Amino acid sequence: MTAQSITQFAVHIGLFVLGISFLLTAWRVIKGPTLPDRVIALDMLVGIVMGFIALIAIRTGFTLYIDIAISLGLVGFLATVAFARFILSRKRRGGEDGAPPEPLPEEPAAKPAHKGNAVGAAAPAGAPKEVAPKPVLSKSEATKASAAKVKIAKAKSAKAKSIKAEGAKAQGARTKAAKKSAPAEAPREAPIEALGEVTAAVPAAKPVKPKAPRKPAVPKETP
Amino acid sequence: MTIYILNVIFAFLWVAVTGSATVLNLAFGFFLSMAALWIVRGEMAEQDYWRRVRSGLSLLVLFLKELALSAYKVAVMVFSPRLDLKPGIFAFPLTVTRDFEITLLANLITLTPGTLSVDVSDDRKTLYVHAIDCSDPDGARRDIADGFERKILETFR
Amino acid sequence: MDILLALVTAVLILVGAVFALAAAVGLNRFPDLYARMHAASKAGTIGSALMLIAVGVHAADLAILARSLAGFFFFVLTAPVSAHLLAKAAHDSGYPLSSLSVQDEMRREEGQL
Repeated sequence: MTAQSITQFAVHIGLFVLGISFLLTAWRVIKGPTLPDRVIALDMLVGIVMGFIALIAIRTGFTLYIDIAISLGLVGFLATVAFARFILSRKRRGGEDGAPPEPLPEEPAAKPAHKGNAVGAAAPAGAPKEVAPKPVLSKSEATKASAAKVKIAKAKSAKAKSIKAEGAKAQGARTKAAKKSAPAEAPREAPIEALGEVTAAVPAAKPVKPKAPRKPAVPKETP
Repeated sequence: MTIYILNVIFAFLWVAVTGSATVLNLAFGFFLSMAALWIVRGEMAEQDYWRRVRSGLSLLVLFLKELALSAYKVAVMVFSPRLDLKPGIFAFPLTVTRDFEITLLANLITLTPGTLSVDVSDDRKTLYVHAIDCSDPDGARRDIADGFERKILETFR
Repeated sequence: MDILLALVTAVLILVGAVFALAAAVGLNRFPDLYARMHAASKAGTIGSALMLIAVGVHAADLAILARSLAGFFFFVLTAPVSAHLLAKAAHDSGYPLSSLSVQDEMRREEGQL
């Protein structure tokens, strides 16, 4: 039993055990029902990888790997802090899609109604805290969100109108096509205009409609 | 006097970290640590230096001992076949007032077996602690007050 | 002297690996988000930090030992802080304690705000 063989034996066992804990922690990342579960498992993963690097440093004899392990620890710590800030900010904005924090599936019933935070106070008695708190959007985000919604609504309504107009055109006779093509162009033009505009779709929609009946030929040329 | 001792210690630390024990490196480390200490000279206050060093060292030893004990307790709890826990959050009224003392106390509580500090109240008077075994919150409060808070007050008051 | 260093290194590696395994098993066994933070911040930190010290001891060189000790202290000081921050963020966002919990004084006091 030389010193070298003792160390190598211990390194092999350590690598095996660390591999098992790596897989178990990864299982928690996949399974974790809530977001902080996954974050704490990722933090543990960073620690386990630091252990791996240390063992490889012993095995190959390159002690330069220690510096890599230390910087990995730094980055992992900062990542966990950033995740914690993200979780806090998610609560204040109500999440990207308004989704509340996911409830734990193993909770049998909702916790009894507590007075609750100021933000989540709107939840009725039966529901747990996870009902969406009122999203408190900042002003610029609110205008952008409303502008985006208006744009999407305009495009949808315009598309619906254009589909209806095309259907009506196919059914109608050719003599009536001239009359119907004029209103058909107006909604067909509206989605092009609305999708082409980057900022506030509301003022852009207005000039579209009055122009179209006057110049039925021109909108066809615009790409 | 203490700043010069720190200066010398840092110079030796520089030599140890860079790994080249030449006189030139030692002198460079000395000047580098002098610059670093000059930047933070506002924070240096020296009163009862040796008493503080002694209680600071005992705090460090306590730190490491609690760390080892907490890891051992968690391992025992994890590998035991029955898992009957009564977790809960209790409020601990603070006696320490300064920011870094509260931070140090929160860190020590996190390293203790079975407790995890969650939040400090807005008026800095209460520290909320999550305990894995909250069947005796008053006992836990007494433990923390007698053990850690007293040592921290000794060191930094 | 070589044998002694090798034995110390081997013991440190094995103990660190066992603690890392305990932390990983604890992550899966505990019923509650906050209990899992206990396991990860205490046992996980110790497991990885012991391996760093093992490298420092194995190299038998003062510079490398100093570096690995610096890494040890850094990791041991910051990992509990990150676990505490996560616990605070999770509690403020409303993630509930497990149904086994005895009391939640923080929620009670917050409700009175």
